[in-house]
Amino acid sequence: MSEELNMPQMGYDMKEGVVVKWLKDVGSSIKIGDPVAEIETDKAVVEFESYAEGTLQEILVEEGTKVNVGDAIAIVGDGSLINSDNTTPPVTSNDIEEDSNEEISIASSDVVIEEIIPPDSNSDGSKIKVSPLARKLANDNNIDLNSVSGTGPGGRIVKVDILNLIEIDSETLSSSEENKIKIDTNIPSIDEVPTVLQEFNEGNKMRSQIARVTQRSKQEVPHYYLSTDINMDKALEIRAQINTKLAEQNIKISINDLIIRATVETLKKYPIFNSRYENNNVIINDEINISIAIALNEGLIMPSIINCNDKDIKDISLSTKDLVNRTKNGKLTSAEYTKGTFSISNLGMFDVNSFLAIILPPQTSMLAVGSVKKTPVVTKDDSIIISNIMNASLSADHRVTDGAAGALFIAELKNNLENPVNLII
Amino acid sequence: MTEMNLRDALSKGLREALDTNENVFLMGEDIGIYGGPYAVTKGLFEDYGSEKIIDTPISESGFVGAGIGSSMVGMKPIIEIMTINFSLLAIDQIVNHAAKMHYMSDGQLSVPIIIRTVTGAGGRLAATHSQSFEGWYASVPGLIVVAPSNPSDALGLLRASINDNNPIIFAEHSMLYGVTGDVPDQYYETPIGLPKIIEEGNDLTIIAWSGMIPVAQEVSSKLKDKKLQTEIVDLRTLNPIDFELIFNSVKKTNKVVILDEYWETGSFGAYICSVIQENCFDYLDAPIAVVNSLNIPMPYSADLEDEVIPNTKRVLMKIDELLGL
Repeated sequence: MSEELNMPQMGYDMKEGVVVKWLKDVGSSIKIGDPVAEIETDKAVVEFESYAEGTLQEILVEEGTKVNVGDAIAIVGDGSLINSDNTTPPVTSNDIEEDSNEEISIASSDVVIEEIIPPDSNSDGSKIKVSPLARKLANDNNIDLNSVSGTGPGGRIVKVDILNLIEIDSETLSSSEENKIKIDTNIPSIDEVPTVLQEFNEGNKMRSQIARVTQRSKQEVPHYYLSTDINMDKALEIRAQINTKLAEQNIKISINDLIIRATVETLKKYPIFNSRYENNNVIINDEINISIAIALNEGLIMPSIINCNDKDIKDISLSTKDLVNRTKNGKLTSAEYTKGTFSISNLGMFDVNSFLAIILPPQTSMLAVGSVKKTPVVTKDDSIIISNIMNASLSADHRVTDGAAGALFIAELKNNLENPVNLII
Repeated sequence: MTEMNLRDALSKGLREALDTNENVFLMGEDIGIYGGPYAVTKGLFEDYGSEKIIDTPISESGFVGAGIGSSMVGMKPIIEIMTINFSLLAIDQIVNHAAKMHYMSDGQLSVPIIIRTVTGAGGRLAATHSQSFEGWYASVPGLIVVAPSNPSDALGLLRASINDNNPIIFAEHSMLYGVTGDVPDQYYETPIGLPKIIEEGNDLTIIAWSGMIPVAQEVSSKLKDKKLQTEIVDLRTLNPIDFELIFNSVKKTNKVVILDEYWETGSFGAYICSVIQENCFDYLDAPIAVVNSLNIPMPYSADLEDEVIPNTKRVLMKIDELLGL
């Protein structure tokens, strides 16, 4: 039995990836989870872990090749290729699920789903809206509909959108070459013509991907927001105690580690916020994988700490440091890159009081935390004391939850951080 | 050219037929001494007498059947059914006899009858007298259905109908009798089955007929404020239809709105829509919009009736919603 390894979808908006380097040679034996190749996405170089077991029978693409998500890049197996037909991916996913651990099977079934997305669709499988005439014009002029934004009703791509692109092309052509070229003559495909649009894409891959993801999230996800002030006095105190104790092990936990730990506990109580929204369905994730926002020079990246469910505060702290280091070195795994279930963005180090985050689909919520600040607080007995106050804001997807549920979530988070003993034992 | 209204154009055509063809006779309720419920036959009884202008009892099935029979043996009857709503009483005669006789007799018999009848709403005549069934008849193989919207087409189509050897439903809209227009003085006929572009434009095509033409014209004039040029196609005939002219218009404008006074469900406009999408799919830049009367019996209240019939406001909203114009 053999099967194809396909270009994985490593990110909400990823449509293609470059095989930068093969890590295994033809003939080597491969176990599930072994890194087989380094894949470059718009954001980073990521190790691609095999979801199949056997011998690497064939490498289908050379290093440096750009491959569409879902296309085969290698064949792994012990005999003849039984799954060369793309129309039978469900068989593959079942096979994997039977003989692999849960995490891998989720990863691979997602990849298989991507295979069957028709060409004119968004990465979440929803069909691009395009009028029949615009589709024909795009085909006739070799224009990729994925590169066109529609201005018709409901964002439909209509005739004028394609004609505008053709005009851009022909203008660019006529200025770069001296010859005037008519619109209806054989215009080279958009890939061959250096347009302003494309320079932006090539020059700032990461920026343009962030642009696409955030714009789509804001357009598609109905966000609602809830904020609360959290008294961090006890959390800071317990952190100091822990750090004193762990000093000999050279471990130092941060406020952010406590926030992650508190969020995990809160998600266990309200798992609906640890969900993903796909094809009009809400799926609650068993695993809690906390994505943390890391600012690189090139832009924002949100890798996740895998399986936080049973990690104690020490584990969280170590995992976070490790993740940050590997992010900066470009050594993320595909799971870390794609399997986040809940995100936290912390701008505390920038003296920010509060802010509202844009949800990272298919996740359905995100927490934004500001700085811990000494603030006068009115106590129950009407006296004023100075406390360390931190603002936390939840962004959540209104298709999945309502404000009342969000209020319970953020109250529980507040409770966990204000009574941090719960986070230790 | 002579300016006249649609009622007078029809009257002129009827007189011509009576004058030139000895087999022509008129039959219907109140068309004689009373002069016709919509006054189309006013004065004919006095001029042509009771043998040519026959008042009938209130018996649609009877006088339509008699007309069909007489047409089979060489007469050229022009039957008037007071409104298309009452034609339901004669529908078996029309659908099972007039439409089928030529086919079932293997061409031995023909039914060259003209059934003039009044269609449409707008006259505050409530639920049972405000219906638009011309599309029903257009769905029956063997029947010709014409529905003119202006005086020159009315006269031209009446002449063509008189010279045609098939059963013809001649649908006259109750609100259009007073519409005036220039009618050529020399003899002409309007070909059955040929739609006409009555306004030219490049931005969208509105297809309509009969009582929906004035709505189309008003929509067109509103769209001019937005610098949009509307092409209006007047079907004029519902069966048969030469679709080439429609297809060419769609290929030019890429956007189509169809106005049909019938209800939404199973409307003739929906049929036109299906033919266009099948033949012009790659030329469509937006969904085809079909605007119908709302799916309820016609209210008697004037305000409500005006809301139920497709009106300019509703058509413009639909154009905004589906075509983004």
